[in-house]
Amino acid sequence: MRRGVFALTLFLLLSTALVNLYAAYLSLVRASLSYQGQMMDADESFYLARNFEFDARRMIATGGNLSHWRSKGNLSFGSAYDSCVQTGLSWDEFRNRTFRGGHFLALGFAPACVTLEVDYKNFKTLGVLKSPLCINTSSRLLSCSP
Amino acid sequence: MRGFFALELLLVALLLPYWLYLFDVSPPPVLREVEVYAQDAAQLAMYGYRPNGTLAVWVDGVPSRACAYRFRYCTWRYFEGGEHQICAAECLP
Repeated sequence: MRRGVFALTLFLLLSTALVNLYAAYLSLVRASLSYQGQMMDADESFYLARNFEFDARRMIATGGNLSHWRSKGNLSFGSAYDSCVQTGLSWDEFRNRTFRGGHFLALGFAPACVTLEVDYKNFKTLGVLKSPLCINTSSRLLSCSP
Repeated sequence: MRGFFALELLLVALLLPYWLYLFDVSPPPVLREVEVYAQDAAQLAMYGYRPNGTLAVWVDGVPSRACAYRFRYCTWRYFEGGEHQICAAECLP
């Protein structure tokens, strides 16, 4: 074998191995960043819905409206969701009938909801403002709308 | 032998990214940690508190401290009748 060829071949093998190791490292870093990015998008979707719930509670107490949320998702007043009944009420009607004297009241015997369907980068969730459940209208401990 | 030297030079050049990796001691940013901190800071801002921790926080573009950073995460909240942007970043040492 010609002098130096073995050393050169060895160097070629080692350098290729090291470059491959570096490529594998970069691949892992890229996958980690991508995973974290998706988790952050999912978190953003959750916090968007939670912020809506906080804001809806505040708005029902202060008499404000929720029109600024329309651009963030499908806003529905008095909608059916799980145990909520479909009321078909507008936001003003919903607020007037469920919030009186500084208290959040049940609407009849069944709870009603204001919902915001959030779809942030394909992560979907639901923000819900739910009126209380009225079980016994004669009980003074429960808040039932007349 | 001149051809071998040229080839070896090419192979040494191939090692350049590996050297960059060896000499780059700064770890990759932990994006999630900054994001969680930004969400916590946003919740605090909703209640009128301005966090004053080791990370830099911006509320509507006003920074809590000036520093250099590699990654900044921004979120927003509705409070006090309007939309507010809250950002956080980990300062470089």
